[in-house]
Amino acid sequence: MTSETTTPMIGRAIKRREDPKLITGQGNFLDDVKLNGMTHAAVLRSPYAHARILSIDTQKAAALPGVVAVFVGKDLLDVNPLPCAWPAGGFKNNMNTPRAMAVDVVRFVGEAVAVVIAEDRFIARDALDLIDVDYEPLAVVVDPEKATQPGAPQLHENAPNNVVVEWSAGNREGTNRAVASAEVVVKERIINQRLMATPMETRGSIARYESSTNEFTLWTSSQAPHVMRLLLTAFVFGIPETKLRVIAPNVGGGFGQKIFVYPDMVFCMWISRKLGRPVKFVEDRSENFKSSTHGRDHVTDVELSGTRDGKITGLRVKTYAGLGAYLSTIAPGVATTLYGRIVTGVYKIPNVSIDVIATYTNTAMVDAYRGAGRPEASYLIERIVDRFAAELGMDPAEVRRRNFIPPTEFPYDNGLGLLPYDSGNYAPALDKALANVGYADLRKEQATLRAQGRYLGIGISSYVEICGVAPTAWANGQGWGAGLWESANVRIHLTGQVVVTTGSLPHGQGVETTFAQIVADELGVPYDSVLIEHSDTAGTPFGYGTYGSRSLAVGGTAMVKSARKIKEKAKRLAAHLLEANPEDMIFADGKISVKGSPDKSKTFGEIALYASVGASMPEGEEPFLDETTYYDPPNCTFPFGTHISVVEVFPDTGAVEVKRYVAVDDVGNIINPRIVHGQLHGGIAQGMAQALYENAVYDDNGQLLTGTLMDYAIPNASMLPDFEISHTVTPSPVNPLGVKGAGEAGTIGSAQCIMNAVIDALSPFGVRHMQMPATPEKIWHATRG
Amino acid sequence: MKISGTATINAPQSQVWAALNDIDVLARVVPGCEKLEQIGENQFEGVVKLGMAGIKGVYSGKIRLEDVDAPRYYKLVAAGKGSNGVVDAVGTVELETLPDGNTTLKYGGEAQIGGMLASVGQRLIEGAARQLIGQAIKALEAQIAQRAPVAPEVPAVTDAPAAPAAPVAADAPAAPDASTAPASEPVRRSVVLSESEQLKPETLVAGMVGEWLNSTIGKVVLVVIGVVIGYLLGRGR
Repeated sequence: MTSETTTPMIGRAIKRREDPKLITGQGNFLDDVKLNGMTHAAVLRSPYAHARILSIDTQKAAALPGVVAVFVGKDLLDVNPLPCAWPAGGFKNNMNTPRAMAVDVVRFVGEAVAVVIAEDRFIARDALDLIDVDYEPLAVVVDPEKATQPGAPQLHENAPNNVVVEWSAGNREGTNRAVASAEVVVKERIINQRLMATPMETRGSIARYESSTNEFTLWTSSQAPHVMRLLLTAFVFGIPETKLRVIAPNVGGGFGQKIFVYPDMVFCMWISRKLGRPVKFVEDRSENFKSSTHGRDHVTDVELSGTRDGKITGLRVKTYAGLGAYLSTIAPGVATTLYGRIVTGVYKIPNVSIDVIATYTNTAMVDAYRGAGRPEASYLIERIVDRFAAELGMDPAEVRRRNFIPPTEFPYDNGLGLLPYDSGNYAPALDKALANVGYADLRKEQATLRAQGRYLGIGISSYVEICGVAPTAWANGQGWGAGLWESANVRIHLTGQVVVTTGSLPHGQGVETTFAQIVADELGVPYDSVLIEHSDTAGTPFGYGTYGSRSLAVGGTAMVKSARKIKEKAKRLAAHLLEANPEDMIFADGKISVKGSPDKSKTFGEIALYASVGASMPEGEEPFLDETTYYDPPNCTFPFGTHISVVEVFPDTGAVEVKRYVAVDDVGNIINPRIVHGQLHGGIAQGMAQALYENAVYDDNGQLLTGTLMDYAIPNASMLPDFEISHTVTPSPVNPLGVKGAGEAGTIGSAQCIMNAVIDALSPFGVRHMQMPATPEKIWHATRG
Repeated sequence: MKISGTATINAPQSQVWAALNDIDVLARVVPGCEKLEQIGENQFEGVVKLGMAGIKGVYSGKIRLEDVDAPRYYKLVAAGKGSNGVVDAVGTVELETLPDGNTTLKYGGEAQIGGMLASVGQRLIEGAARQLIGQAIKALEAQIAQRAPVAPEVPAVTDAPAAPAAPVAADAPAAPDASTAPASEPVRRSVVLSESEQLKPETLVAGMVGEWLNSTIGKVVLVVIGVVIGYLLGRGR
């Protein structure tokens, strides 16, 4: 390594180093993994949303040539049900989590009932047709509110009225008084519909058991391999944690769905041990839709009170949150902490009170999905604030401005039991968005077009969210059952190459690139000499994984701290070689030099070589440059911004055209603008899709009607506008990088932005609210009263 | 899914009723029926092969007739299951004699569909069900016509069985090897249809999907079905 000065990498929009592999078909995804002697699993799934299993006849299936074995739920009773790691506050102590397969009762369409193991996946699938199951159908409930009503079908004996969690926050009495005495009260029932994460790569597992060592290896499409290892060994199998290695190959999108522990992980491991052969299971799309976790599913009644001059005085919220038939890994916390504690959004609201009732329903499990609670919160507050503005006849931008938390009040406590918002300055983001979109002119154009019978709508969304989800002590207080710190090890090999291992991992975020940028700058080494290794529990320090927009703020900070420890040691070693005082050493531009005598220096490469050989270490120093950090930040980070969209609705067809989408996002300091923009593009697309297209629909019998991509509408590029993205930068004081997080911000800001625009466009027809998605049919009806 | 409708059948009520209680007839009017078995009084078991929206499957099911009020009304309770889903249905069939001596058949029912059929085929199921019912009614009419006495204007004897022993109209194709046992007898009997005898639903569903796609091929298939049905009906008269 030379001492050449490298230009700073932080802030540069370099291309993602992950991409050449992924876009040329050289990625190695779960389904690309092939092992000697591997068998293939196919899962028989319940066609009923709620039924008693009377009998299962697997004889014919087992007799089909090529079938190795058939297993049912009763065979796997020697392992525990899957754990739920976040029994949040208000939890009713009625934890009902799924087993690898249903035993006596199925509780949602798609629940596993039997598994066929065969020599290839086609035989396995054919054999499913030969299994005969007798079911006795039971009554079904799919609506999270109806599930709590008297006489509703009961899913679990220990959960009366299907209630899992009764949770509240805020000041009930004060809020009741504020609402009762207010000049203006607006109220609305707001539904945040159920969504399906739809990662391009579906989920699955491959398990291999080695009887000579009693060790398992599990390849699984996961956002958190270390957590899977912990949960599967300590909680499900009751075996030493060291007996399982978990590897996440390239992961083709997760959006939260791949954080969790799933039945296929368990049955693949169990069966591989039973048969002594590797077992592979990869979902098809329909199985992913029916059986992997969904998101959202809130039914909320909200009231907002205020004064005639646009000051908000109170917010009262009651939400029914559907969690599905069983509890997924962190489901209760998503519906409570990550949602209920931030329903006030960017506003200073003196009186706020929220109740959340989370329920079991005969549907697929609901858990974190991109944004996880915060999109539900920001949709709710931004819709009701728009409703308030409409009621007052006041410009929605002005109402927002009048209620923003002032920049002088940070760190800000919103009164809902959240950690204080770290930093924020909301008005400049709003102003910039208004300027970028040309707001004043747009309102004039809107009036002109209305006179011509054309319906333009302008939607504003000012959001704040919780990123860098971490401080362990706080999370434990919220019922979270483990840590939330993150790890990074930085080692400098003999040749000066830098190897970083971390518990964070990418599934589309490009963190190999971002992390390498950070470490290169911190150590003053070339970007290309930094290797980021991840996703394998055998090669990385324990870490909690990638979700909650935490990889950079938490994992990235761990990396910075490890690099700084390396620098300190390098300074000590250089001082020893140069016979100088360690306190007088300066680390800059890839060199360590003595303060005041720049000619007395060693390159970082020379120190790496010296430390790696370790021939003449100073007293008390170990050879090698190798430092690990387990970083637990003092707070979350709170990115914010304002999005403005312009839509036109066409009353004759009900169609919506999104004409402009302007986003001003403050995600703190930006390491790689290209990656941040990519994250925002994807996030905005997903929120926009919720507003206009996506809806996971169960009928009253619990049948998933949107079981294919023909029925569940995810948008393609032609259905989306160009995104006009810019930023304000308010560095986070929480971490040394000043970063906040960008993975979920787009989704959290966008759904209400589009809905506010659609409803604004429809306001001449008397429309004040519409439930998502705003389909042409709904709009067409709305324009006809 | 709820479905109801009315059809007029060019035959006296007694003949229609008899046909509706004769598994030899029923086996030939249920689209895709491969096998139909009477397992007791008013109880049947069958195997049906159907394809819908690309989901082909073999379904086995049980049918029970309830509240039988001959020759006017019965309620039908059906439960079927197959690799691609489950169907639970309750329906009613009601006959009424028209002033011209022909019969109206009123049907109504509600079906609950589960599994792959529901999640993949839901958009097409109602249309498909209507087409299948339409096909079944036309086939029923054809079967009655085939089996009808030479002079259809002769008033039918109310308690006559479905006249399988009666001479078949000279120009009709030879009657299938129908069993001579009366339908009311609670004897276990089964009708297994050779492939050529089965009422092929594939063509119909292909036609339906074709219609949905508005493709020329679909239209051709529909025209062919129309011609075949028309031919059968014409020969029956």
